[in-house]
Amino acid sequence: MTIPRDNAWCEINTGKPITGKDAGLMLCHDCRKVIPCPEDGSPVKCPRCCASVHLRKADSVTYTWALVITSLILLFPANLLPIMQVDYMGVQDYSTIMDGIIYFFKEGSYGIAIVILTASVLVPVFKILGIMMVLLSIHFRWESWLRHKTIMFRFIEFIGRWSMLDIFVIALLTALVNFGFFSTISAASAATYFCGVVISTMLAAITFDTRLIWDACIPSENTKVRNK
Amino acid sequence: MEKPITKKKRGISPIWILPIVALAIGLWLLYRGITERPIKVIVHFHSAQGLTAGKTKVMYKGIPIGYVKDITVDKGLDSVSATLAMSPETKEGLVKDVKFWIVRPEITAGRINGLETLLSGSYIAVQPGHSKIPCREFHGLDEPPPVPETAPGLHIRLKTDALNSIQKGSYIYYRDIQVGTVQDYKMTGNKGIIINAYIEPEYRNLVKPGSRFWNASGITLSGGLSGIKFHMESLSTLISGGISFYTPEVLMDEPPAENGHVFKLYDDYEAAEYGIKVLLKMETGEDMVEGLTKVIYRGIEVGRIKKIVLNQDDRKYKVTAQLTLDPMAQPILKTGTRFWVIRPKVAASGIKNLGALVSGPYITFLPGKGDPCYEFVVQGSHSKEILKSGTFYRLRASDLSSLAPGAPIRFKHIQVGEIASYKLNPDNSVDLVFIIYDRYVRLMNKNCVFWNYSGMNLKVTPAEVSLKTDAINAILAGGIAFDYPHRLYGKRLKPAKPGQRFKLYKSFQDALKHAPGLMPAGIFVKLETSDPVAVSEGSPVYYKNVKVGEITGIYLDTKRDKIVLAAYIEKKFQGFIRNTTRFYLTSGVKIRGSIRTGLDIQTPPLAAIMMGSVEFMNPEETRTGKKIKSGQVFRLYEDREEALAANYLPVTIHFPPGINVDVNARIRHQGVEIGYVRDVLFEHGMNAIMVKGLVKKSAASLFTTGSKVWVVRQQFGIAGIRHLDTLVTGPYINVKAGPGEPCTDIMGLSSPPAVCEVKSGLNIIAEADNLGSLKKDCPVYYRRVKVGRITGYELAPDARKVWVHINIEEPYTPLIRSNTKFWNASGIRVDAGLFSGIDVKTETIEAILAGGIAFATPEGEEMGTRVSAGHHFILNEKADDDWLEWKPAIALKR
Repeated sequence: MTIPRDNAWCEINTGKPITGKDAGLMLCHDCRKVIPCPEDGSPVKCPRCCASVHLRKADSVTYTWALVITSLILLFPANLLPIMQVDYMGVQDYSTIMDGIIYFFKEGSYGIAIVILTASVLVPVFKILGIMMVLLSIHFRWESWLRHKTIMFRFIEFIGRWSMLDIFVIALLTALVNFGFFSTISAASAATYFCGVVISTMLAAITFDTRLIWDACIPSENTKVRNK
Repeated sequence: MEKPITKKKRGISPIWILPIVALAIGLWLLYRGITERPIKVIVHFHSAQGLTAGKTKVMYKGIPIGYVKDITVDKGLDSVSATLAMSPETKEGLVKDVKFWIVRPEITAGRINGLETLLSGSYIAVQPGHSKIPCREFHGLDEPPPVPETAPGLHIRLKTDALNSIQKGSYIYYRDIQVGTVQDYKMTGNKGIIINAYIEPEYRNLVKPGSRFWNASGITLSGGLSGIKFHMESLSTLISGGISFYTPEVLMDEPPAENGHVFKLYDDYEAAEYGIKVLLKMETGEDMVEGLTKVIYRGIEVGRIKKIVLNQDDRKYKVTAQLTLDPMAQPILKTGTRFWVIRPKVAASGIKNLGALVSGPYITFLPGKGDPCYEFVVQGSHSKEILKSGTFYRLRASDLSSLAPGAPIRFKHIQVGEIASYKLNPDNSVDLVFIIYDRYVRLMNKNCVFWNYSGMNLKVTPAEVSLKTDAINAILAGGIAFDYPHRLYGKRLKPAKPGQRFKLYKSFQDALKHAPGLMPAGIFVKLETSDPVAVSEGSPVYYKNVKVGEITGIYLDTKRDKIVLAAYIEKKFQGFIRNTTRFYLTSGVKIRGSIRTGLDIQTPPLAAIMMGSVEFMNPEETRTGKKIKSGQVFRLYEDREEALAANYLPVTIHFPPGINVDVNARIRHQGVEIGYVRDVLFEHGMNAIMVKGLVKKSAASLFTTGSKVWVVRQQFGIAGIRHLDTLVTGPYINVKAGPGEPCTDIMGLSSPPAVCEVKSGLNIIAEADNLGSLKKDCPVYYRRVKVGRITGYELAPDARKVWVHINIEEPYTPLIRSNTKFWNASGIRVDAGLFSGIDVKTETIEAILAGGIAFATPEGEEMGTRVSAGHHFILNEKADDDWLEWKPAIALKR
């Protein structure tokens, strides 16, 4: 019997939908020992290797919320304050992220402008909004678009590593354009906040457990147990 | 299944610290953003050129204090409003009289401003105000505002009639240093322009109420015959205008000018009367030009005549010139200072003050001592300022000659001092004051003798000019030379006292008479002559054409009616003078010559030709004579010949009339000159000629009672031309020694003696019937080789024969034997016969032409013995045939 690739999960689900959680088992991530879930859902340690073992990532939602909110706050100074300081012939000039994007648009370098716009503005905003949406869907147990949400989350995780583009550019320019009086480029305060935004969104993506998306919409005893 | 280790859950997760921290940062940033919100200020400008919204900064003292947020056009479109976002710190400063202006890059000839704005763009500059009323709306200025009256520094006003090229921002210079700027200017009715000027605080002390300001813009060119004056300020003032000022030194102690002091702005440097006013009274204003005639001190222009006015009240000094002198001349202006006018002087003695010829006459002065004084009288230029330091001495002269102040004092042609001044004494002698420069003062001692150098050089002699060209300077400049006796050189002498008086001699010769020691070491000799001499004092004395001394004096010995010349001989040539030395006069060129000896042209040095000279010679090369002492008296011969002949032996020769001998004809013996004819006289009765000659003492032995003397002149004959040289040199007198007592009074022959005894060889006599074509000197042949000659002929005492004297030359004498046959070899002999044919016999061609004698000696025993001198042979008409066949072997004398 061949199972079509697209329907594999459906085919599996149509059978006995058994998860570890449903079976009351969890896996030690270090030594791969299967451990029974504790009754009260309190944190446990692997009896074999003493690693922390949890059914789902501990306090995943809380952590993710905190990090997402942090990044949301930092997003404002990161975009409003100047990120780069250019000293050209003794004249200082500050530019924010948007200044740079506008500059490139005006210059006609639309490609570069779009890249910067995407990497520096859209991606962080998209990440924050995406994670928040996933979190809200868990919170309110929205059952639609589960798979799409998961795919979106994977994309957020994937793109996270590219959001430091601006910082890389500034770091490069700082190193390359250093001609003393004639012209110098250095990072300004917004760079720190921008780093904060990127780091906290990446951490938020890491701390989030995607299985919770599914947990939220599959009512089971175990879920109830966890929710106790 | 093993039970997992359970752990109790804690309260609120610590992760919430992160959003709280972020929130705190955010809030703080927000707070700061609100509190430090820029202050909005609106400034109205005429033009927003160079302003960029969001970019253009507001700068104050180089620090950005805000930026242009927005630019809009005002209603009415006559101005623009720039909305400035000023940093909150400026809140207190934004008061009513704050001034804003746009700084744009400005590059003009005068200056470059706001160069930084080329790159950074224009910016808005701010000048703070002093008002207390806050204000948020301003009117911007088009250009930088003037320095406010309240700013530290000096604010002065300058009054002028015309602005010329002065602009706002033109600089004010003090000694070419920029000390301030022109702030602005305004018209004051029709009266003129008031310029507001600002002097920087650190320079405000330079401006005194007495300071002079003048317009330093551009080039000032004024000129005339006396010179063109070109005055140019710095290049920037040339274009953008500028003001200079000067504060005289005397005013430097005065309090500085107050703010608001009004100064007059003069049109130029000259008009600013940059200098000290001095009044100069003079008898005439001739050559003086207002504004151009300079006052020059030691070659430096220190001022000019500003104005010349007529004096009504002064009888002598009718003209008063107002001088403007450079303030640095201030210390010179004392009562003792003397002014005079330098005019160009073109005279035969030279051109003086050539510069003045081109630049016009100028006024110069000699600083004196005394109290400060600003009024002087022009005086004669009797004195010249001595520019070098030295010691002064005095000279007394009978007249000034060509000397003038400044004329050099020379010692060995080196200028060691100069004449400072002169004055006429009551006794009409002249007193000269001269200076000897410090480094030469050691030369001055009591033995110094001074003479007029210029006088001596007026007698330009060829020798002097050609040998010492530097003397030309002295000729032109005149001067005084001095020296002291040479024997004192190198000795420690008592130095002359400063101010000591010396006598000035007219010439070196004059000085020499009084101080003979001036001549370098050497000796003096006296030369006596009775004839007038063509030499003068200073004429050179030569020895072998080398100058060894000179004539230092010529005197007339009235007692003996002789001219005595004092001659000085340098020490190194002293040794050539012996008591046998003969001095003679040289002048002119002497040419002697003959075909044999070539031309002998004797030219004394050029100087000697021109001015006459004395030479001396030593008759014998070996210095036989004794050394002499100074003062030795010599006879001065008239010429070299006479000198040479001084110890010749006088001889007298009496010739029959008809001889042709001139004075100076040579007297020779065997071709060698032994003397010459001094005089040719007629003897008493006019029928004989008496020749007086001088001959060398060594040739005296030739003159005996038996000597033969005759005159040799050229001979033309068929056998040759003889004594051709006498054509040029004239006939000479030949002397042939003879036996007898020495005698200096001998008879001469009218023609050469027929027989000449020749001492060498063998003299024999051939007896011929007639002389034929034989002559004296005809050859004698042996086998056609010439072995002798006919030395003469004479009739035999009995007149039956002719005795032909033959001399056989030395190596051939053995050929003559007792049986030797002689025959006449002259001519051609032709024997013709019907059967014998023609037989032609000749000796050499010369013998054919001139005649000759041949001889032959028999062979073997027949030849006979050797003959002694004077042996007689027969001279045959012709040779026998068998004679010609004799071939005796005879050893010749070799």
